[in-house]
Amino acid sequence: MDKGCRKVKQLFPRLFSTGGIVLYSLIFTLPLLITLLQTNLGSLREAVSNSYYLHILRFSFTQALLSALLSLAVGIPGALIMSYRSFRFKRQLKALFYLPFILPPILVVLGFVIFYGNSGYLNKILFSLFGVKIKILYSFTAVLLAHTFYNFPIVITLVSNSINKLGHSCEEAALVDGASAWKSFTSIILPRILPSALSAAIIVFLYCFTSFAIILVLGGGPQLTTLEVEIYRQARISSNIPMASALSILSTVTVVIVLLINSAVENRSSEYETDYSGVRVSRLSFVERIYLTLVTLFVSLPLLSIFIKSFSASAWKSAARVIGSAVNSLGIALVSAVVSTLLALSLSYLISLSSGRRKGLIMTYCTLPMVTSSVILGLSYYVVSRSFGFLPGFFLLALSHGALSAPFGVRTITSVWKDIPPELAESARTSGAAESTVFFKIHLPLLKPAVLSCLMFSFAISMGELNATMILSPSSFTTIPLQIYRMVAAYNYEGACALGSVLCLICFSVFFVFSRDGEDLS
Amino acid sequence: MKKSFIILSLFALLLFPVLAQSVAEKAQTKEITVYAYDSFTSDWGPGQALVEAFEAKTGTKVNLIGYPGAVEMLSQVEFEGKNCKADVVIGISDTMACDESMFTVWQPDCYENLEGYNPESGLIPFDYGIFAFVFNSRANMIAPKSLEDLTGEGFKNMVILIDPRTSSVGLGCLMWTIEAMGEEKAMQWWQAMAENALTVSSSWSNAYGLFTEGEAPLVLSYTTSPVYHAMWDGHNDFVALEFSEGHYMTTEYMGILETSTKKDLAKEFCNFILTEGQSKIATDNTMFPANRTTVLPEAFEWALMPEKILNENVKTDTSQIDRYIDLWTKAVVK
Repeated sequence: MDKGCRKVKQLFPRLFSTGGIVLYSLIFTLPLLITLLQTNLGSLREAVSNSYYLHILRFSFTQALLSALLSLAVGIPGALIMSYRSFRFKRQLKALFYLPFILPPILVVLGFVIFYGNSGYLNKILFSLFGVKIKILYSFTAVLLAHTFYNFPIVITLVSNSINKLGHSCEEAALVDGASAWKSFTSIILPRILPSALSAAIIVFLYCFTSFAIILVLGGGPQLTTLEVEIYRQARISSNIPMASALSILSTVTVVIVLLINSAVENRSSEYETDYSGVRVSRLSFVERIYLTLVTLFVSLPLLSIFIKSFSASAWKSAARVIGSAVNSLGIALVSAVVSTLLALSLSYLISLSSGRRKGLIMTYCTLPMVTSSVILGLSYYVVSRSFGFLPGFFLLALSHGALSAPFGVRTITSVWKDIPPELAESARTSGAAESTVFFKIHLPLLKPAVLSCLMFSFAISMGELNATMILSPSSFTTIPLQIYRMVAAYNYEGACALGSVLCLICFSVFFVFSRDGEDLS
Repeated sequence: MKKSFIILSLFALLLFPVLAQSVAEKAQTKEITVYAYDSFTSDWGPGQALVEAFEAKTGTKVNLIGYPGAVEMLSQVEFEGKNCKADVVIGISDTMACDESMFTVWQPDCYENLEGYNPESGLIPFDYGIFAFVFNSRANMIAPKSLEDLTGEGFKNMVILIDPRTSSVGLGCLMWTIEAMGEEKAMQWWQAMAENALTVSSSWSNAYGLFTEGEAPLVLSYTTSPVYHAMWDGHNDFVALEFSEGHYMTTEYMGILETSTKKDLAKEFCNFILTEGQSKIATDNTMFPANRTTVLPEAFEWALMPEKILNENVKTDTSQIDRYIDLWTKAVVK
C-alpha cells in the first residue's frame, strides 16, 4: 500500500470527527460564551443586590422546590402502583405518563387554562351541578398546579423504572399488600425509592426553575416571574442585554449547583445493592383504583379539551390565517432534525474514537445543551445576530433548535455504538477497508434505527420549541408554538386549540413512529 | 422504519407547494409592512378591516404584524434598525420614550384637522383616549369612586391591572397615578394594589380578555370602552367609572420609518387611516378619532367624559420614565 492512499484513508476520520465538534462549538459554545461575556460588573452587582431581581430568584427557587415536592407527592403512589401492581390498561397508562416528555409546555398550559380556567370546562360542569366555581388561575397556586400537572408523570415514570430495574423481593411486595401500609412504606419502600425519587425531584426542580411558557401564561406580572421570563423581558422589551446576560449567569450557576448535587445523589444510588429475586405483582385495591382514575382524568381531560374546543369554524378560520407559521415550523423542524442528527453522528464518531478521561470530557461537553436553558441559548443567538446587525430568521432558528436537540441524539447514538463489537470494524480494517468504508458499510447500517430515532426526536423537539424561538424570532416570523402563545395571550382560545390539535397530532405521530423504531432497536 | 420515511417525505411534499407560493408572493412589489400592537391587529380590532378596505381601494397589499405590546414593538423596531421590515409603525403612545428621529417627517393631507398634530414630528396622531377603570355593573357590588377606593379590602382580587413595562396602557396608568397623587403616594398605591389586584397582565388585550371572560369585575381601560359593547354586543353592562382624582389622557401615534423604501405607499396608507379609516378606528379601536371632522357613531354617547383631565394640553415628560418604572418594579414586589 502506498503512502498517499493511507493518507486519504486517514482524512475521513479526521474530517468527520473534527467537523462535528467544530460546528457544535460554533453553534452552541461560542454564542453562549459571547452572550455570557456581554454582562458587566454593574449589571452583575445589580442582579444580586436589587430587591426586584432577588425577588425573582427567590420566586423561581421557591416555586420550583414546591412544584417538585408536589409532583413527588402525587407521583410516588403512582410509581408504586405501576411497579407493584398488575392491571388492565397498564401499558396504555404507561404511555399516557410518557406524554409530558413529548408534549411542549405551551400545549400543557393551553389545556390547563381551558380546562381549569374560570370559564373553563371544569367550572362549567361544577357550576351546572352545584352552582359553584373555583378560582385557580393567575395565582401562585395556579403555577404550582400547572407544574405538578406537567411533571408528576415524570416522577411516576422515573421512579417506577428505577424500582423495576432494582427488582424487589417477595417479602417487600407482601408488605405492600399488608394492612400496615404506612409502616412498610417508611421502613422498607422509602429507603429503596429515595435515591430515584430524589433525582426525579431534581429533574422536576430544574424544569420548573427554568419554566417559561407556563409562567408567561399564568403569571408574568412582576410578582410571578421566573429568571427565564425576566431574561426574555430584559432582552426583548427593555433591550438591556448586559442585564439579560447577568441574569443568565445567575440562572446557569444555580442550575449547575443543583446538577452537582444531583450527580452526588446518582453516584450514591448506583452503589445501592440490588437483590433481584423475581417481581411479584398483585391486584389493585379500591383506593388505588380511585387514585388511578383521578390521575388519568387529571392528565387527559385538559388535553382532550384542546381537541374539543378546536371543533368550530371560527377556530379553524383563525388557524388558517396563520398557515405560514405551520410552514415555518415544519421547515425549521426538518432542517434542525437533519443538522442535529448529522451533528450527533459526527460527535458520536469522535466519542467512539476516544477513550478514557478524554471520552468522558467530550461526552460532557456534547451534552451541555441539555442543562442550558433554551431561553439562554435563544438569547445567545439574539445577541450574536444583534451584534452582526442581521435579523434572525429561518436558519438561525433551525440551527438553535439543532443545537438544543443534538445532545439527545448523541446519547441515543453512543448508547448503540458502544454495543457494536469492535471486532467487526477490526476485521474490516485488516482486510484493507478504508475508515470511511468501515463507517458507511459497518457502523452506519447498525446505527440506522438510532439515527432515525434521533431524526424523529429532534423533529419533535423543534416542532414544540417556544422558548428559544420566542426570544429570537422577529415578530414577522412565527412558528406554531409562537402563534399558540399569541392566541392564548389575546384570548383567542379556539384558534389556539385548533393550532394546538395540529401540533398535538404531529407530536403524537412522530412519537408513535419513534417508539416503534425504538422497539425495532431492541 | 418504512413508516418514518413515508411520514418524513409526506412533510417534505407538504412543504414544497406552500414554500413555492410564499416565494411567489414575495415577488409582488406593491406591498407594505405595518407593525401594530395586538389589540389593533386581532379579530376584534380595526386592523383586519382597515387593511381589507385599503387593499380593495388601492391594490396595495398590507402585511400586518401584531406585537404583544407597544413597548416590545418599539424595541423590536430599534433592534432591527436599518434592516427593519416595517414601513409603518402604529400605536406609539405619548407616554413611551421613543426616538423620534427614526420616523420621517411628512405632512398628512388632513393635517389641519388632526388633534395634537405637530408639524415638526414624524409621529402622526391617529386617535386619543382617556384612561379609566371599566366596571362590570352586573357584579354584585358597589362601584369604586376613586383610585384610593381600589386598594380597599372590598376589592380584593377584583381588579385587573396592566404591566407598565410591556404595555402602553399600563404605562399610561402609572403616569395617571403619579400625576394624580404624586410620586411617593403613587408608589404606595401600586404597592397596595400589587396585593389587592387579581393580576398584573402583560398587555391590554390580555387584561381585557380576562375581564370579559368574567375573571374580575374591574379592569384598566379607556372611558370609551363601553362604546364597543354598546355597538357590537348590544349591552351596557360595562361602564367606565369617573374617579375623584381626575383622569389621564393619552394620544396614540403612527409613523413612517426613515428606513422605509416604500414611503409613498406608506403615506397613502396613513392618509387612509386618517380619513376614511377614522370611523373604523373610533368603533373598533374604540378611541376618539384624531381627525376632528369624523362623525362619531351614536354609541359614543356611552363614552364617559370626565370633568377633570389631569394632563390637558400638557405634553408628557418621558425623560423620567425609566426611573418611574424602576420605582414601580420595586414597589410591586415589596
